[in-house]
Amino acid sequence: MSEEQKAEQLAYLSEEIERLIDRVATDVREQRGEHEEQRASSFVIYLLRNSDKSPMVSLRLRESGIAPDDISGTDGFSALKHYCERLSLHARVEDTIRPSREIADPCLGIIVDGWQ
Amino acid sequence: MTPQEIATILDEHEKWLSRAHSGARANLARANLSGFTLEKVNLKSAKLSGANLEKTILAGSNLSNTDLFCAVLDGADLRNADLQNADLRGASIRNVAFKGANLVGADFRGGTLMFGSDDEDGERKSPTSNQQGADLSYSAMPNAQLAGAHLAGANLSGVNLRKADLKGADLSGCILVEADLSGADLQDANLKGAILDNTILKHANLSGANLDGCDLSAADVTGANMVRHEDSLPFEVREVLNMHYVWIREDGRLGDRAILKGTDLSFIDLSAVNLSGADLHGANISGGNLSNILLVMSDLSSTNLKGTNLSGATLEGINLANADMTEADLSNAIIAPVDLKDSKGKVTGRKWPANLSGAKLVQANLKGADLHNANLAGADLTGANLTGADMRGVNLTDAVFQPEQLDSAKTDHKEKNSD
Repeated sequence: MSEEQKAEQLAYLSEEIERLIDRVATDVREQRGEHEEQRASSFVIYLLRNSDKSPMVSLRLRESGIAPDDISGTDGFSALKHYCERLSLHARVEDTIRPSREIADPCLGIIVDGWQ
Repeated sequence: MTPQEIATILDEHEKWLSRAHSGARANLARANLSGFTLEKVNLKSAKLSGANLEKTILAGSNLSNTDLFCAVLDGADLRNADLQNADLRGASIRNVAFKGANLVGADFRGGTLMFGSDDEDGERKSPTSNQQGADLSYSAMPNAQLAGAHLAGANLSGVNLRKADLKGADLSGCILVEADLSGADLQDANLKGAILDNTILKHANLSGANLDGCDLSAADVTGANMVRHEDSLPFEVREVLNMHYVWIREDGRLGDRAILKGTDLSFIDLSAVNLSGADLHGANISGGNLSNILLVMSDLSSTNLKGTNLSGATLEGINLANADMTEADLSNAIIAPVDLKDSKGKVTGRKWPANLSGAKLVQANLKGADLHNANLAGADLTGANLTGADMRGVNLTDAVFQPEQLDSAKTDHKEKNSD
């Protein structure tokens, strides 16, 4: 992957991540819940997807020269991270997500947690 | 990953842990360590998120404070491993051997997987969304230390948790179908809404445990200690009891007589308290500890006292008509008449016998109890132990019992014969 393609991919990821700002507060409120029976959920994983809606396989990104730290350094992730911090939540990039048993390769996602 | 690479990472991690200004924290995130033998290794505070540890042997290893977020541990051997405060959220933990493992404070809670971008139909949640907590079904966890562990919503079906320490653990909403918790310590554990179908809780300690919303009808609770303390009762009930204690202490000048008709007091510990004169008609006190309690002239008619411990209780003049005392322990209880007093507290010479008419005393233990002059008309004494019980003057009209049950009891017939 050329530097230009890498930059394009990072820009795409940055936008995808920044979009999460619009929904993270609502999603966390739903998962945290006001009722005790909802407490089992202690984090939300946002599985990032390619433009064709397939999950982003971490290995493929690494092969393209994109490491989790590169994603953490995007403007989109910084904006999400700061937004989460204002809500006393934590956001981080995680490239070890196995969305289902059918998908053997770990995928890229954003973890939001920090509530009890 | 080659064995040599793993060995190097472990060496560097040991150095990092020893704060020797060298080495590096082990980062084994996503690593495929499936089937490796990593017995007794020190991976304290290591990063193992998303690692594949399927069938890995980690027996005796130190994994305390380790990040095992979304790791796959299916079929792993974690016997006697130290997993204190480990982050096991979202991990796959089926059929794992945890025998003797220390899981104090470990976090097993699940999470929710969502798509970062909406589907065409606006769907956000992934079909694999896991809101139900960890899946630990059929794992072996006997003697495991799980005090304070976060297991809310976990699937613990068929898990062997014999003699496990689950003190203060959060097991709310857990599926414990066919789990074996024999002899486990669940003191102050939160089991709210847990599913306990065919769960074995034999001789388990459930003292102070929150069992709200649990159906124990299909669970085996033989010999389990399910006693809860007064402070677990609703505020209004505690207030009534406190006012009664004042009423007793102040000889009726202050406070109020307790009226707790039909109240749920199951598994309550009210040992050695004075509830004399209280109205507990129709209350559920099953499984309670009322040993050495004072219930003189109290109304406990139609109460559920199944399996309740009333040993050494003072029950003089009590009304236990139609009460269910199946398998209750009434050994050495005093269920004799009470001397009635006048308004000035002087003895009138009149005696008020205990009323146990129509009471169910099936398999009850009345060994050494003083029942003299009690009314047991129509009572069911099938299988009751009456060894050494004082049955003189007792009214047994229409009572159900075998004559030989009275062989070892103290009766009028024997008194006459000895005279």
